[in-house]
Amino acid sequence: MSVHPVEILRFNTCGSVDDGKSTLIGRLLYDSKNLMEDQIEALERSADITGGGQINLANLTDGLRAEREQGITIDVAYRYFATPRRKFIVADTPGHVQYTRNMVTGASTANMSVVLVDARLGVIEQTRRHSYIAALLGIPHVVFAVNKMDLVDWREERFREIRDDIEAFLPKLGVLKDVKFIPISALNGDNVVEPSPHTPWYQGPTLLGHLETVHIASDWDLTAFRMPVQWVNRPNNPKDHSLHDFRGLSGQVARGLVKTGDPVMVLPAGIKTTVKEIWTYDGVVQEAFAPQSVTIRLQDDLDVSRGDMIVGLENLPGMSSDLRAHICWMNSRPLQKGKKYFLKHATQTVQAVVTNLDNRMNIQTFEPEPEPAELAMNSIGEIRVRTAKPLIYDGYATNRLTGSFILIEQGSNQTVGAGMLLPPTEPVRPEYQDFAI
Amino acid sequence: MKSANAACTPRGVERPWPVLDKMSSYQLDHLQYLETESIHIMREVAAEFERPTILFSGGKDSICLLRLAEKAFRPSDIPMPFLNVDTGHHFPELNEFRDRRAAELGGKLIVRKVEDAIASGIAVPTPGEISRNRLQIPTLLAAIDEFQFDCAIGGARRDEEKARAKERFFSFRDSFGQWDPRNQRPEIWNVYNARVNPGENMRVFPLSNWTEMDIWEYIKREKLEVPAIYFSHKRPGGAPRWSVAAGDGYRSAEGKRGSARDGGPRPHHRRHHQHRSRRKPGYHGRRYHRRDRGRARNRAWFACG
Repeated sequence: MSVHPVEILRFNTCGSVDDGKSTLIGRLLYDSKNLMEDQIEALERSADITGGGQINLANLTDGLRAEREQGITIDVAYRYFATPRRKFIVADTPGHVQYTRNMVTGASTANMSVVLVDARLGVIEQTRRHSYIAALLGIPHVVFAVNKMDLVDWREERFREIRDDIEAFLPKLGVLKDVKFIPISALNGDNVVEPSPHTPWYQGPTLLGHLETVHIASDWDLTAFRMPVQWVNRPNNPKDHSLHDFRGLSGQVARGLVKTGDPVMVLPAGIKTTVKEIWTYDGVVQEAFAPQSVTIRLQDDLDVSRGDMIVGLENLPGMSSDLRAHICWMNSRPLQKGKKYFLKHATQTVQAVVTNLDNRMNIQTFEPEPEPAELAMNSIGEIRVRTAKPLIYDGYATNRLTGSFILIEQGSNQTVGAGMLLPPTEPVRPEYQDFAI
Repeated sequence: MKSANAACTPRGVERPWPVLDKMSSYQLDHLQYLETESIHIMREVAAEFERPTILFSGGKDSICLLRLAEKAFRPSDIPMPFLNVDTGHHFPELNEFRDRRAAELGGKLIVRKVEDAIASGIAVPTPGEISRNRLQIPTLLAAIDEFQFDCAIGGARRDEEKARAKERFFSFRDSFGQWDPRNQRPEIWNVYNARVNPGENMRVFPLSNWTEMDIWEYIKREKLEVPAIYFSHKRPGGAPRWSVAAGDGYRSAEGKRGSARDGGPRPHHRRHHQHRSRRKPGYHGRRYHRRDRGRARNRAWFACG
């Protein structure tokens, strides 16, 4: 029996309180037969006791007891299920207004966002907020699942109305490459796994069908090579004498691909060399691509350490210590101008000072408000940062991994902000660009 | 499989599964994806912490953990020692396997025993309690203190239990070794905040995104040796189960989780025993729906038994 390779698709679900997120995830798990017998029995037991016979699918995913009592999910929770075609990692992100930071967290690694819209309420502030965050975080695929269609009698007009409302504001958000609308009822399972008999007017795929078939192979950007050096691999007193001179640079390819013999540049030094060997535990390979973790050996013995970046010669990244970025603030102590933080970007941690708050995004109008005094928790805005050492980076819209950073509060070590860099104004021009060894 | 077929096909169009015989050459399958993510995390630990350790029990998850450590750090030595908390209730074969595997890898193995912790008063048993899972915690914390570890890599997975679904890859512990689920650091992209102050430390779980099925598939793909005990022993009481080694059990008891539901630590395997009688012989209580059994059997665990 040949086993098909199985891909992983990561998605996050977002919606406001009571939009039925947990129910939807419960439904996906239940209908795609990913529950264990004992979980099903526990569900049925609780249905008999408290639910009047109706299974409460949300109970499957609401983790901590306190949350269940409050009826809200307070933190990002991760769920796993699989079909023969794909494996899914679900980031269940809470809907409460104050939990924007959780959606940013859940969305940061997602291929797809599933935004729940209550068919009765239509587009509300949360819908706009979630769409904005999905666009800001550069999520390649977005699905608007119009839920509770059973409560509006499965009227096609209502579905179209909501779709038109959303399509009216989407252009203001910038780039959303792939957007889909699906009418569902998470509670009854219509169009979640099985097509619904109630929507003869809807010809598209079910939600699971879409999750299984959406093209994600191109979500990784393979156009320009970047590998932040994570760890220098140099064996101490190896028994194998051939390893005495082994000096490898270990890291995860953040963008693009690289082949043995390719010319590369080491930044920030700006020294050119070539790739001698791509080493992995499973043997030497001829090429490596994002997001593989490999160990690269260079032709020349250079002084390279953690925080440096190996890049291809075409399409050079930016290099600067004066940066502009979108930031989502995640801490109850607001972001203030002039305050110092640690900034972690790729594998480098540097001191940074916020030199200016350029604007704060008004999620209602999608209009930026210039020069706010501070950014409170869950606000999103544009800031300027100066770092103690230059960063080697791409714009976030080009590449998530080389265009993102976190801010860490000094002292408490809390992660307080998630930053998305604006594109560099000009590519790096290293001092020694023409100095090949 | 009618439902699955219908799910990916627009209504009225009969279409077979869009079969994916080969990944595009620049795409990772699920195990490769999980592997690269875990390797990245292990290297972050090696680079960011002064004195990290890997918790190694000989259990299935920690077997995978060690292979991932090899993948992350070879051809160098694995730059951290292995730590095991021995309950004294481990099967001798498991301890033999643990010692042998650590020696094969050329790593330093530190073993701290619960009975020693009890003797020295670090761990205090509750009268009548037979399981020593709860006593692993003080033993582990004492070991962390003794060796001044600032980070311990463990093999816990988020799919093990609902309360763990919110656990981070880098899970911060205060100077009392406590986990506060309400005050976790947000974890965004793959940029991990590894900063701790003196006395505080971090638990890191590189297998967070792995499911139990992934673990067995990986064991098969990597041809990893699993102690024979996984497929043979019965514990007193007759229930077949895996040894609850530190990598599996210690964490559910630590801090506040575990106790929220049942007032004490509990190996996640136990809940299957009540249905054991309905299962086919040879099906050792692994947590899959019956639909998955045939598939799983073909693909994963029978091959490694």
